[in-house]
Amino acid sequence: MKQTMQRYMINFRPAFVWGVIGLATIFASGWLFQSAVLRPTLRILLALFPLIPAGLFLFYLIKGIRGLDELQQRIYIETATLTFIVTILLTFLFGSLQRAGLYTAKWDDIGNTMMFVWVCIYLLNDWRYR
Amino acid sequence: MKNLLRDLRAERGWSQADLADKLNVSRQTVNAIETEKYDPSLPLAFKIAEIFNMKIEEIFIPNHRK
Repeated sequence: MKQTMQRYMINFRPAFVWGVIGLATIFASGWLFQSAVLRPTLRILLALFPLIPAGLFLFYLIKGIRGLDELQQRIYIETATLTFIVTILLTFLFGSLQRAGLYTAKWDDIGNTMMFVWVCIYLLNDWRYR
Repeated sequence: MKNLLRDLRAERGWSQADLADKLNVSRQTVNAIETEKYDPSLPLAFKIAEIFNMKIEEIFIPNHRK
């Protein structure tokens, strides 16, 4: 368990760092949109800026997954596939709730739901092979 | 697929962590193979056979064969 955790920590440290930076830039740009009057060009640049750390996060995430052994890769691939399917179904559910006038989902809801679903499915998948 | 990994490892006095180090995989992977929750890929099966100096079919037995 300790060795597995160490492997994860080493493989995913850069992805974790860029993920945190990415989230920080998303929150910072959101705060700037609300608190400052910005020119349209600057608004576009600021809105697109988080794509840079997000791209680096993705790059290091894939690199981290490739550095894992075959069972751990399998767990990740199964998790990603199931998370994708569940998120699509939940997105349709959000749409239905919105059409029914019961709940209006925000864009952030999809991202948060996806992260929550990822963690749940990952823990379940990891437990299967223990 | 059934396998003799646990017995072979025990005969040599290796822990799961020792075998995992030799195979360059996690202990979780060794445990999953031993408990038959996971069948290894062909390259990993060859590596296991090489470490125990045996043939793959001497370690891994298909379920249909007794």
